Amino acid sequence: MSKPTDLVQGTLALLILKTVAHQPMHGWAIGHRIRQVSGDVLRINQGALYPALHRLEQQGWIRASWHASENNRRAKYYSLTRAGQKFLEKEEANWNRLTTAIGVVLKTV
Amino acid sequence: MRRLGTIWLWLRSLFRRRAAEADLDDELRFHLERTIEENIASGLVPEEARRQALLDLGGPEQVKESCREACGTYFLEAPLRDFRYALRVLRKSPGFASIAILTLALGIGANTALFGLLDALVLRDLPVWQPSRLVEVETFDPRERETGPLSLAMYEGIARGQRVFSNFSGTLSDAYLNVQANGWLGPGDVSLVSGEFYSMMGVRPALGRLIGPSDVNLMGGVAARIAVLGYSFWQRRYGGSPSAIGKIVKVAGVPFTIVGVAPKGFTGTSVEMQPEVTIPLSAAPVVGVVKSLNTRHFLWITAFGRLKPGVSLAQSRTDLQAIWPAVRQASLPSGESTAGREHFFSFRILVRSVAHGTESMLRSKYGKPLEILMVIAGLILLLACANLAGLMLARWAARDHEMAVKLALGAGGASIARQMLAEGILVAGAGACAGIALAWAAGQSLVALITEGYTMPVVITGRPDARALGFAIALAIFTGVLVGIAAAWHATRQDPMQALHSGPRTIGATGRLGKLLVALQLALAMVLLSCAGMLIRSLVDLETVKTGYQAKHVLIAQLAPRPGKHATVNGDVYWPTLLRRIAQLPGVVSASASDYTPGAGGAWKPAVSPARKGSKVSFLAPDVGLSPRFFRTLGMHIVVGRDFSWSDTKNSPRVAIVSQSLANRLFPNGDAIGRHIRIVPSLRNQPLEIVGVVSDARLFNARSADLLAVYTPLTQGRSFDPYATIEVRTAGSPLGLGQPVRRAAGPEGHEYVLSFQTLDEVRSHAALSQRLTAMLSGFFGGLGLLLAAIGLFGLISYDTKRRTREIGIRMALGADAASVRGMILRQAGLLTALGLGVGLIGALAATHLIAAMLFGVGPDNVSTLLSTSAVFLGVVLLAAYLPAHRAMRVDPNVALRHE
Repeated sequence: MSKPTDLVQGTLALLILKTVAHQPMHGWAIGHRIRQVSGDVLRINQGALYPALHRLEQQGWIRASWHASENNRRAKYYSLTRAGQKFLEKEEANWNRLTTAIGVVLKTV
Repeated sequence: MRRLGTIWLWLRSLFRRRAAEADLDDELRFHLERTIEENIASGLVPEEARRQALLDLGGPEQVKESCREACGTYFLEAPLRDFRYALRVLRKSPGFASIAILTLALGIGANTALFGLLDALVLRDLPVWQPSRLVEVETFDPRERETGPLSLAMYEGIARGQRVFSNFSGTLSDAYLNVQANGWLGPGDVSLVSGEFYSMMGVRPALGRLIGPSDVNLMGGVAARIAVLGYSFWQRRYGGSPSAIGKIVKVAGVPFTIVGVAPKGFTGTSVEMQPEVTIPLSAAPVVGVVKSLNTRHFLWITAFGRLKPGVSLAQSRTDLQAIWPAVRQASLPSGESTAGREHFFSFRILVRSVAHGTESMLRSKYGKPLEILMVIAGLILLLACANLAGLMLARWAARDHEMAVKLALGAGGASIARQMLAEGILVAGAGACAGIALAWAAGQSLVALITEGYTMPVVITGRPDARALGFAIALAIFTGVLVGIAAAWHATRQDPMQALHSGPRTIGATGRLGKLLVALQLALAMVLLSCAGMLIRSLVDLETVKTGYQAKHVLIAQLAPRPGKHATVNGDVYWPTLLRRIAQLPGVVSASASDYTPGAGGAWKPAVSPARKGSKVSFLAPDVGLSPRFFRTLGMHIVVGRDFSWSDTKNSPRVAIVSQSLANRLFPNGDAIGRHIRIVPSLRNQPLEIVGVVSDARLFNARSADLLAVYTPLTQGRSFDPYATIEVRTAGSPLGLGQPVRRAAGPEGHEYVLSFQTLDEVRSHAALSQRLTAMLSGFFGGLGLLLAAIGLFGLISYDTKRRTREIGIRMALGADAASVRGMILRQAGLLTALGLGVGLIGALAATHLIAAMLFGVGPDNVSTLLSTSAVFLGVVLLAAYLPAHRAMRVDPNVALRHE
């Protein structure tokens, strides 16, 4: 089991942004989806998820709106803003460069 | 777009907090419900599903708090909430709030008032352009170990030879000369300056022009008869009218044309007084401050320079020291003896920064005492902080349980500390506001007190200015933080689990340090209080001592010579005429004149001895010149012999009257009348015949029991004294006769009345330093006692609060109220006894130190020590009794059911 503190700094934001990039999602679903997609490897600490969402919203990378959920209850859905999209692309590129570099080092040395 | 959106969010969470909170609630509730559903689906029973969901989230309140923090309004909201909470807490305990605010007000007020004075007198820069570049050049006499001014030859020599000053100017300041301006005549603070002075100071005129280089010709000795007025003098005497320019102001009777007004707030080279009239330095001989410009025997020019850019103080010293031997050589006074030349050639040259202004009267007198007082006041404020922290702890201790619950609920040590901090800052803020008001009043009355009797207007007001206010605010923040941190540090040290389980603790847990601190404060308060008691007692004794004269209904008028008129006065005619005219005024009982102001202190004291050959007896006694009827006016009486009469003149045999005490010492056989005495030194060394013996009176030094005095006729002996004093005994209120006496003195044309006082005022002014020390020591003594009492109160309250449960058990087991109170008071009594004991020893040592300042009471005066001890015990025990009394009323049921 992996906690966000085990993740590289800033990865939680990256994961959230990537997750909501496809479609608006509420907090529970975001946590759920990350866990699901990662094959149960990444379990987001729920105590850290919501503050992170609020921070991203404050920074203007995601925006929130209230919609009916899949089981017809009022839920707060987060979606990516245009600025968030740009930020995500940039961060994704950074991430890929970083992991490639680490991979190369691990293979050759 | 994005910026706008985030600002909207921010504003929304700030102002529509309720909506934002509801959103947050909804969001988390939704999350929990989903998690619970999922948990149930995976096979958990509902109870367990809910527990697991909450565990996963990790405490909804903490998550919410983190979310709020993420919203960015937190930094504004949290302190607001803390302050609102603190305000509510304080409003609920007005007793604590008022004591806390009162002590801080007194502490901060005293510090601010003292700082304001110290700043104005010592710390502040001169209000001119680049004051740090201004220096004073002085001579130093190694034999007398004192600094002095320069002669004109030295000044010119340095002005020619120096390479370090961009401006170099000679001045003679604070000459008190007769000034006549716009129909007003009085002594004025006159400055004389060379032409470079104003450009060196970097000031521009408020009106007209200032004195410039072309106005001052020191070499030719011809002085332009022009004058520059000080701003406040111009306001006072000319109502600030521009038409003053071109008018004539007379200095020592010599007319000068007003050409300009110095800028507002310009105080010359000192910080204390504004030069009222400034004239060219070359006019010095004309107004009589020096005999001739070129005199070399008399050093009279105070020289200032402005350092050139890039030149340091040390460099200027080196430069002046290099040229000094040649300058000194060229300035040697003519006709000096070998020893005199040697002495002159030992003179050195000094350069000193005058960024803060030259040494002034008030600064040299009060600078050091103010610094000491400042340290004391600072220490007292620190103690006040410690005590307030103790008080606050005592109040929080009662809520230990609540605190533990808060900690356990996840409030976090930091948030509790923040609340204490907010409480501390709030109390300190209120204290500072009250303190500033206090400083406003105290500063002004202090200045009024120390400048009492000054004939010159002093610039310093004692009102706290921006700097003093800034100091007060800094002090308030400092004390608030200190109090808050001290309390918070203690409060958050406890372990929530332990506090929750054990409830209010049973063991008296007040630190040894706290107790020691309180005992120390009690001792200190006792020392301060004893000194204050002694000093106040001295003052009372001094004011009620039998003086031997009757001070009620006596008007004292100081005379000053009219310019140029008194030189030709014949005292044998002038005095009888003047006094007769005054004596005829309605309401006057009798009038007299003297060359000493009765009750003022500081009389001339020559040696008096019997005039027979071989007499070895000699006493130092004040020698005062009097007119007839002086003793009658002051309510003294002639024991034997006669009073002076107007027929005792320079042409008649020289006579004297001695005090009873002196008569007894000089002639123990009681046959003083008709015997002759000698006064050394005196103008003509003739023997004087004793014609009368007068009753003893404390005319010279109210403190001294030494009542020796010799009186001689004003019309015999010394040359005409231009600064005489008139005493008038009146039937009614003395000051009402001021104007009639002023008018009566006018027609003679020789003198005018400078100032009026009653004899009571003269006496009280002479006791000024006593009053000041008694007042300040009384203030600090009272404050010290108040603080110590608060310290003890805080300590005992804290202890009893913590022992509530123990007390409950004791009472449940049958202890009665009195024994509980006794238990609490025992501890207070122990501390008090310790404080009193140590304090008394300290008090004895301290009062011996101030023995010289005491009057009428010995340093170990038992009755004063007893009465201060009684006051001390009364206040301290009251402080201890209050919490003990509260402990006594603990209901065992409530105390025990607390768990």
